[in-house]
Amino acid sequence: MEYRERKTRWKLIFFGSLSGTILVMLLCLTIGAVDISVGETFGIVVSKILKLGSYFNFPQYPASHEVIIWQVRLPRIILASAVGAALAAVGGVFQGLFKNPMADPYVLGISAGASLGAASAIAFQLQSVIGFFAVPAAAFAGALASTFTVYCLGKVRTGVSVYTLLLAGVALSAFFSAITSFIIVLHSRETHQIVFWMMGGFSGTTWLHVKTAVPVICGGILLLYCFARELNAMLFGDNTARHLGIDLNRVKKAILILAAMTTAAAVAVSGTIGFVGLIIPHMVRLMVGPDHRILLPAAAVFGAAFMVLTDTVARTILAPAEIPVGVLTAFFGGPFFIYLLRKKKSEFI
Amino acid sequence: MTAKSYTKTIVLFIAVLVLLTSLTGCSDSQVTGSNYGGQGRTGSDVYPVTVTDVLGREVTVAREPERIVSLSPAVTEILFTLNLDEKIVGVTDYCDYPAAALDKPKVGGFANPNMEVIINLEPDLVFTSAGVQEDILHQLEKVGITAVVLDAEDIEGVLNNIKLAGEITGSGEKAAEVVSNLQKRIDNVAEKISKTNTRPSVFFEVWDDPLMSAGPGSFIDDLIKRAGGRNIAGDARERYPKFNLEVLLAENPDIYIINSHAHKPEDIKARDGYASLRAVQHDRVYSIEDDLVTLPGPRIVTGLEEMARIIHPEVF
Repeated sequence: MEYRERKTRWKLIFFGSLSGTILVMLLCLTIGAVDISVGETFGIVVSKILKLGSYFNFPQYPASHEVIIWQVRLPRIILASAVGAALAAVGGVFQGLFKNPMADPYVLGISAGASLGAASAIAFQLQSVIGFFAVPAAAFAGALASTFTVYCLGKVRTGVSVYTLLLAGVALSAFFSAITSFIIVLHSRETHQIVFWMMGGFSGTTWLHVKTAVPVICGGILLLYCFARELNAMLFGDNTARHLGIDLNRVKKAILILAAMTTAAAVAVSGTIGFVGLIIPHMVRLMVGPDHRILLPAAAVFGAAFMVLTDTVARTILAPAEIPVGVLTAFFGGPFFIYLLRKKKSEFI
Repeated sequence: MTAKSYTKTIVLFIAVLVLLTSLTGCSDSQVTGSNYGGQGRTGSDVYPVTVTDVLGREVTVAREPERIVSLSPAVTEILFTLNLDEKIVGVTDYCDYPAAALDKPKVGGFANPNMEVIINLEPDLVFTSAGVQEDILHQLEKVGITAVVLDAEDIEGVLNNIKLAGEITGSGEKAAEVVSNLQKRIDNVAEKISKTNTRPSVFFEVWDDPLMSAGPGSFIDDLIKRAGGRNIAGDARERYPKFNLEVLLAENPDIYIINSHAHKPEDIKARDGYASLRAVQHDRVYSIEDDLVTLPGPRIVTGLEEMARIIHPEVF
């Protein structure tokens, strides 16, 4: 009985925040460095979608506005939402898996690995060999390679030790960062480009980024959600989880692979954007409680909304110049999180 | 979820992923750029013009560009030199030369110009530089805007860019005239320098903390050589190497040049340990505006002349 009530409440929270997020995305579609009216924005979107059937006659919008809405803003907003969702969901998963409130999606060296991959691709001019997608592809490969290395280091006799994983992640991150710095020093000509990539952001987004990254991210989040019960059980300790009939090593392995794929896809197309994966899960936990069955979906939805909002501010507040979105995620997220922390101090984690 | 199905889940995930990617991969909705720009042919009948830009991309410019956006301060300078100011509709925040460039609409910074603003200007031609702007270039190609990359690493490259810009914008004659004038000034410096028989050692301070100089592959290194000097950072492994203070003191350059934005010569003379440098003792510390020796635009020749006057004042 009580569970059923809770389930209804969860549905309400999830679908409520999901519609809120979609509203935020639509709102942000109308905001940008170039003034395009709300009516025109939605006219363009609707006419673009319906053009497949071409039933209606829409007014002729300026070609430049069509390109701005359909090829610049829309893919950017979709990608930002997906990356925000990925980072927040994986952050929530890792905080549960490692039973550590400091865990974030980058804890297994993913950001350092991705940066190293991207820096190598830029420094060795791989774009001119394999084309534009060389940098995201190299970042993706670097992210997966670092996670795999950390995983191998974290394997102990009895299975996978989360503490060894954490420490291996820290060590490997430091090592990879050192190599990246060395590449930057040796290739001073590309320094600007590498540093710019590492700051992260969505300014170069095209539909190609959306098409390659979003399916991986969505699939990853959905499958991670399937492990919500196991993550709940693991919060009570490995023994309890084992007594509940969970094959811990397999679960951990599956979660690590899924989380790494999801984060790697996000990092490959957006660079390393900090803070979202750390703070959003905590915020959501303070609001909806620690049960992963609601925590993960809610974190994904809130992460998406937060990222879209901060990116919109990043691209408009100093327009035509842009601020790296990572600066803003910390700038807005930090104080808000401290506020939540003070307000609900007793219930924290 | 039972224990056995975890592996299956992963396999399923990857299968779904491959399927999704292959499905979405086919439906590319590209807006063509044919609506941009004026329709009628203007001026000469040389169009369409096909050029190979500095990244080796073959670009065809269908008709004489009427709305040009420049994302590079050096190219902005070139366009103004070619008297194209009427046609420039957008520049970056960093395009500050000539002063008229400051009045042009801004499209954002150098590394991150704003795509929306660029598209809204409805340009029929965008000039970008290489390196950090390659993401922008990719995005421009995606939305069907003609983009040409102009960047240079030596003086010949700059002259070539001027010719290329002239060819694309229908001002080839003006470009030829500009290039021939610049070439005369370059030859003039070379001729005067050939009459000198000393090669004073030069240290160019790019930055003070950390101490950085300019090595092989940089304009500064090339200019020092052409101006009849010996760059003590000329055998460094990088373009802008960090420079060891001990090496500087041991090399003891005859001439010390700094970037005028950062310091005045007096600051250098007052530094600890610098009093022993030959350049300080003989009062041969100079400053030079960094845009003149780093930007791949026409003013690089002015930079060369200033550098030559600093290093060999006896022949000027």
